[in-house]
Amino acid sequence: MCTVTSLNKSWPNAPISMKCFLTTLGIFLLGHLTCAEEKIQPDQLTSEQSDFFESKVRPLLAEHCYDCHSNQAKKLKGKLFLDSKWGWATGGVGGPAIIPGDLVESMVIDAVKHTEELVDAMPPKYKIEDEEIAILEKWVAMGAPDPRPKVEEKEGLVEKFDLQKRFTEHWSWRPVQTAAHPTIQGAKEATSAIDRFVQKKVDDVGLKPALPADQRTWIRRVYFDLIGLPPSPEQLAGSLEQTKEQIVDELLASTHFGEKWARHWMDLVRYADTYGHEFDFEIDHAHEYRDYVIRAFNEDVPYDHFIREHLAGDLLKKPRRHPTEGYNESVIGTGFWYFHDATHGPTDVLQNEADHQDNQIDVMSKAFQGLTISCARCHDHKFDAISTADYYALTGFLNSSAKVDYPLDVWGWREKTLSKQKKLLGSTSLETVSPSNPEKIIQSFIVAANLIRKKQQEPLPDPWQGQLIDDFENGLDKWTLAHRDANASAINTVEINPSSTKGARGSKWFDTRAFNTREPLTWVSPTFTIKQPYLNLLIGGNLSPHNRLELIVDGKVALNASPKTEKNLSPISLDASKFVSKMGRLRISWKVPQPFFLDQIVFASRAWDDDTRPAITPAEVAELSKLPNTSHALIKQWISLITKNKKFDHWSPEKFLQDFILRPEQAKGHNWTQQDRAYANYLSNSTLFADFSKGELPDGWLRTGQAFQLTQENKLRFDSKRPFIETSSIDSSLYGKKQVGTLRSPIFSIDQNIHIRLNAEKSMIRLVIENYGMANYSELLFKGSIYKKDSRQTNGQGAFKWIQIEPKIIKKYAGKKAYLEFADNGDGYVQVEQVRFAQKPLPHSFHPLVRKLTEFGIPDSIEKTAELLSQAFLSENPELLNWFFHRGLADSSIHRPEVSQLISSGEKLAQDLPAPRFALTMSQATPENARVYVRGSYKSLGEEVPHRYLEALGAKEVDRLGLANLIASSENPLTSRVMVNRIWLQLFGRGIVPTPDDFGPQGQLPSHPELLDWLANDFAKNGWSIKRMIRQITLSQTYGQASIPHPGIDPQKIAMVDPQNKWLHRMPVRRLQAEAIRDALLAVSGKLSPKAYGKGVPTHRTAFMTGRGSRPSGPLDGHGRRSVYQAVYRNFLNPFLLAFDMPSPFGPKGRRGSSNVPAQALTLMNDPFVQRMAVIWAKSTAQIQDSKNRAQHMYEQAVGHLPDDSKTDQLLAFMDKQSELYGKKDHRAWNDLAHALFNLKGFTYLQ
Amino acid sequence: MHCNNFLQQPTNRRDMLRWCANGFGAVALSALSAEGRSPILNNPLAPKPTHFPPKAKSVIFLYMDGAPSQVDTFDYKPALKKYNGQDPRTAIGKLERTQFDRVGKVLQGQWDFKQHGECGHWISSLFPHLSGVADELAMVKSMTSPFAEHTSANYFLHTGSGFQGRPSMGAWFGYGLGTENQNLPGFVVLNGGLIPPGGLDCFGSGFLPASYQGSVFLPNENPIANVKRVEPNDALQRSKLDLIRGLDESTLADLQGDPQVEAAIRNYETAYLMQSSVPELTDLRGETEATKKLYGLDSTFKNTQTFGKQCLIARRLVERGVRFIELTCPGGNGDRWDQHKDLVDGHNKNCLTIDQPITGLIQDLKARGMLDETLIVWAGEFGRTPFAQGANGRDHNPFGFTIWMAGGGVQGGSSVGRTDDFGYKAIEDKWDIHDLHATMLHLLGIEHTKSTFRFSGRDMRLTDVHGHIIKQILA
Repeated sequence: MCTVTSLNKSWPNAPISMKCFLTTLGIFLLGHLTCAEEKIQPDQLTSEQSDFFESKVRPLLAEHCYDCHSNQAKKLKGKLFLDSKWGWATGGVGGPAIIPGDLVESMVIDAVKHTEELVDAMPPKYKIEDEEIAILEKWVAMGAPDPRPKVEEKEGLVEKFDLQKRFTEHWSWRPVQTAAHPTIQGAKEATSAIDRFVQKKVDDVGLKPALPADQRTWIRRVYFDLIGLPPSPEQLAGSLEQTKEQIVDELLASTHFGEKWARHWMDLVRYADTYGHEFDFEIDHAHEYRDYVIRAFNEDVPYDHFIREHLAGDLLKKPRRHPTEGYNESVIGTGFWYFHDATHGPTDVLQNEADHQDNQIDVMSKAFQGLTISCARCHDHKFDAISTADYYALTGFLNSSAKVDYPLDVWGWREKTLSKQKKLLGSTSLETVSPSNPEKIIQSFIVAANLIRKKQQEPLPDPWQGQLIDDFENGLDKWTLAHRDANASAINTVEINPSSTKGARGSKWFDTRAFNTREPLTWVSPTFTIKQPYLNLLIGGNLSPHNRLELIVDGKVALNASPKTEKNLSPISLDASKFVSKMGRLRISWKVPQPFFLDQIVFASRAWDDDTRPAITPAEVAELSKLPNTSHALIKQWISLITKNKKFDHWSPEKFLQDFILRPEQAKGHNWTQQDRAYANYLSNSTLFADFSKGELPDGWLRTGQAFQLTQENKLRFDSKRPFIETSSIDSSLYGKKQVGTLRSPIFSIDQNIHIRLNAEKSMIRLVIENYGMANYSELLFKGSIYKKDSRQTNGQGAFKWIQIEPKIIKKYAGKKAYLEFADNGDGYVQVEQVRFAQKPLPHSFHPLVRKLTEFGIPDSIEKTAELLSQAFLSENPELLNWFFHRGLADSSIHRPEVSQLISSGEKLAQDLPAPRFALTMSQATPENARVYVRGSYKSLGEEVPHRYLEALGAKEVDRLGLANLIASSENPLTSRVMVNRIWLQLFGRGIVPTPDDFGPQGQLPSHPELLDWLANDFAKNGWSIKRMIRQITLSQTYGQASIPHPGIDPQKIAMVDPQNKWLHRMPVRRLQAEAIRDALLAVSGKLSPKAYGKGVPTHRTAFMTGRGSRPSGPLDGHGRRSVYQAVYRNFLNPFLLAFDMPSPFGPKGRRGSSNVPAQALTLMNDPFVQRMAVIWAKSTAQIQDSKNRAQHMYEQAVGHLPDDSKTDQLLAFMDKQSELYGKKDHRAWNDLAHALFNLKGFTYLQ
Repeated sequence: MHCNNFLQQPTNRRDMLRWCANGFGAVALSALSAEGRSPILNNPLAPKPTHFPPKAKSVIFLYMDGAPSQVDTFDYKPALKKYNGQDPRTAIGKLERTQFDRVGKVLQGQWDFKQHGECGHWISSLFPHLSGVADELAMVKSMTSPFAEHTSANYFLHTGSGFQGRPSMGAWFGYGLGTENQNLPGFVVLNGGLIPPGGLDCFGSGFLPASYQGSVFLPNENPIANVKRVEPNDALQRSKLDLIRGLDESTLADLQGDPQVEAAIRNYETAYLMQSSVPELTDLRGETEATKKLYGLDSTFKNTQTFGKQCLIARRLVERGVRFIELTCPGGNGDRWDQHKDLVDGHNKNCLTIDQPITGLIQDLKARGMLDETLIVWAGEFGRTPFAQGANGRDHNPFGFTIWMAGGGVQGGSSVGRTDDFGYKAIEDKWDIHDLHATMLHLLGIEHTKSTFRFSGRDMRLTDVHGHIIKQILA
């Protein structure tokens, strides 16, 4: 039975609006049952309806639509039939094509009107007449009466998405087979399985395997393949004495192994250090992931575990630890999710998120499964057994996760410190923590306040008197016009309609509106000695920075001023104190032909707007501190607090005291009764979202790191600046300010204003909308959603305050999902007491000390204020007390000794923590199922899908760790196959499946399916050991072949049966990958740095690399570090590596291109880096006296072979030739030789 | 001549050809190419047959970085004058979210419009020169883009995708057509000073082979990277290259004529020639004074000179058979065309920069009989709002803007599409960037649905699954 409720399900996202209600009602009344195919019946039509349809609608549909959308269609488009009611009601790939009665949601109407809100314009090649559109609209509006019955579909017109059929038909879904390797006639006992499989195929096509490669060739091959570096002549000599097993084992044990193989993995996860797009912002901590991968390959972490770490390393019960530094390694793997590019200004944040999820799923599915799952984002996969629901089942995992900077606890130091601190704080029972004897503090206040008041009464000098440069009352007399042919020499200042321009002094000023020219002009004043520290002047005009007054000192522009107000002249001050007693002159620079005014240019003793009185001298303070019961330090502190020119919050004690002493009349506004009422009102009218004062973490809130601790049990914290727990909260500084961590809220839907009561300093507080994390970098569209480290809004100056997320943001993103995040990265703190949602704006919050000071109205004297301060200090109110500590007005000497000792030992423990390190990771968030985005559009929501893996692989409902286990399983037919294929590809230049990232029907079939399965089985059975697999392959005869065919084979035959060397009848010749070429240049020249790990070396920028987001250029030689350690800036990729096909990091690249273009020759011929390496190399060989030996040695370094006589002759002849060209024997000839050797094909190609 | 010396290596070469004579080399060459589809090992830039006879042989893409305002240039909207200063939400109706969300008042076109040429194109007074060749221009006044933010829109305009790392259209043209000049890249970007937001990835080859990526030329005597010989004289370099050649020939012999290695050896010949052919290209001393003047090289405004030089070099590149030439804007005219404020000043300078050079380019190509074979495209990544951002600027507007084309296969003087009365949204014959790409490919003889490259399970296209040819403006 189809009810209104179930109908509603087909528009689950629609708000309950009148339109929707009417639509639903309309359908209901008309009795149209659209929810199940078999229930769709032709209407009982009135004759009027029937006539209208037959005479107007049917012909129109037939003429314009049937060609593509009916049983007559040659090729049905979009699986949509418009030749029956059933057809449009069921709809095509995008769902129902007509919603009876609804002109806006009916795709047919959208299509013919070319609105393109829902679908592409139709018919695609033209637009039907307006009258025809009107007919269709009328028809839909009347409920689309349609008498046509469903016609049985013509055979083959619609290819149904048949997951099961596709699943059974395609090879890669089948379980990995365990067939025994073939027997080869005459093969030795020791012939490995790999060789038997390969040889079988080679035999089958009538070829013979090539002869074994000569020893040197093999050694060079295995060096580059395993560690990405050439063997030095010494290593070669050593290796020649060793067995192949020994060589391979040594290379596998080298740190360089991980550096080589990590790079292949980085190609898959589109590793980058920046986000690209306009400003190429940095991906924080990206390099930690790169280092993690290098270590993982070096430690031979079982590949199944490596997968688990990538997909759910944050959820592993027993994470893997760094072998020496002890931190959680597993969690770092999850960083791979986040190496996508990112823009700072998406106008559509949900679309932006959907696009990134597409990339994330693409990377995940190709890298681990060789599947193109993201092809199913908009419709069921065109070729593979993957449905759109499969795709959205996976986005569900992403919706339920968040990107987090995870603190790496090096040596477990943070955890250990935390438990020590807990013990320490817990061991002390403190009846009272109040200090005593505030007398010095109060006395010092009195003398400081009195001194300031006295100073207040001293007169100020006039900022417009002093060293007058010009007031233009005599025109431009004093100035020289710096323009040769301008007839503007007569230009003078004239009074222009004075009523329209205000702010001038006297009757005249400089005003370009008086000039009859649009030429850019400049004037220069005579030279003068600068006698006073401030340059005050009046300036105005068009707000162009190009029209300006400049102070020139030592021939350079020292200071400049341009208009800040358009119509009037306004005062401005420049600090010229650095130039006092120097010679200078002024220049008026009028570059843009727009109004520009100047007047009253004066050097004076103070800035015009600085009304601070003459500074209090140290002598005066010293004098006062002789008074009894005062302290020099405290007087200074009070003076600084009261006179500091800083914007304090309106309701802060500082603001009150400043007003009270400096501006007594302004202090009168402090009335808190009204505030109290407003506050009480606020509390009762708002919703408490989270309360941290109850001693437990509210539901759904999550923490990382050690910093965030609930304070309910505590009276003290390890912070001598704010030692007392004011109110129960979650506090990132309970155990000192140095601990790090994050606190995240559950995901909620943005609705009301968000208010947070907190106390923070140098920490980040933000609202993350739809997982959009780039507001850190640019607030363009998200201003007010994030408070970064030193935000004035959040900094409570040591006291709790209420803050509010910018209401504009709330309005703009209403209805979107979001979470709150608080992050303490180690040099600040954040304490959160509660979070509220409220319709109303936030009432003013104020510090309790202000209440104390104004308890009986505004105090009538300094002494009265002092008394109130004293009472506050003794009140045992921790919030009041903290104020004195935080302002440096009280210190630990006030405490009882055991208290101060406790705090200082707690602080000491925190201070000793190592510098914080973070990794970019994925973390759990509030679990949430995804909904299918119909046609890939989030605006059109379909069914809800649970968290599960692919239907083809069982559709098991799991959490993210469960997903990881399903992929990292030997039962999974793809995982092991895909990985052994990747290993094979790197060693042979071609995979058994040549399309390593696509094992689907669009990819290529395996050349050796049995071998692939044998390897996959062997891999999973033997602990998923990558090193073991590599060892096995590199020790095979197949890998050990020469790269020329067996001499006994006729080339014609090869051309016929194996031109591509698909059957591996020889080893292919391969060009070295970009990194290997660069690393070899460094290695051969002796410049290669052995340093491993750490932040990437900035890219060396050439003149061709300009544009936004550029960083300072790195060194030409990248500090000699291996290429894997060079930073990958998306917008500034290393041009050398790029020339040799390093991929741009946007998606998985399991197989690099190997282009062959003149730009590569130009690079090796003329790139200054190559040249530089040649010079260094040549120099490093200078100790070899004999030219022949030296040349031979260099040749061997470059290509791994010794030159034969003919080659040696060529080398020496070259040396002679160069000497002849230089006119003498010259060391430059050796540079030339080195350079030439770098250009040999034997250097860049691997046999 | 010395370059001949370098090129002639008869003995070894003949030996090598003997190995290949049985056909093995040739077969292997084509078969080894990636997935058997694209001829990577034999020269990827070799000219390729088109799907049908092309109308044009080269494209000059004048990229107006930052997005010019349609209502101040080519899309005349008298209604704006009527509503000037009013609240756009009342005058226009519901507004889409803009990049900065600081919506000001309706802002009329800031320059006078007049009709020009026989066709009667409306062109504002910003283009006194270009107005003179109005009859060469084909306007599309209803272009749209899905992105309102520079980078994504830039990527979209250049690659047909809003994301980083896809092949630029120049790369697709190179892939589809090859190039007629083996000593020059097929896709050249003449950098006027501003690399657009999004960086060099606007000119990348993405998943296409690296040989198709745009080469950024700087306007100096060494326009591309590493084209300047490091050796102090030619003889010193030549002797090096001789040694390299000699030793490489042995390697090639050892490998029985491996085609990759052979191609790599051949690249050195080309690279050697490029060292002289590329600087020669940007050396304008051989051009007449009249030509230079035509392009505005004598202008007192420096940016006009810069852009004039770019336009002149573009013509020289077309003469040399380069397929796709993109010009980026000179810096210093405000923030590109991106006049969020100071619209008048910024657009004045930008137009002063390009007006005479572009006109000169069209006239010069025409005079030389080359205009018919060259497709000129003028476009920004989107347009600007008909209402102000703040007081004196305009925000991004991807819903309707004007681009124009001229030259090969295009019907000069034609116009297609219309925006609403405010120039805000396209309402008639709405086109998008995929359609622009389809049309450009079409004019160069490529059927956009057939120019595909297999990448990760899909046959990728510049136009993805979209694209219609804008037939109304074709000759």
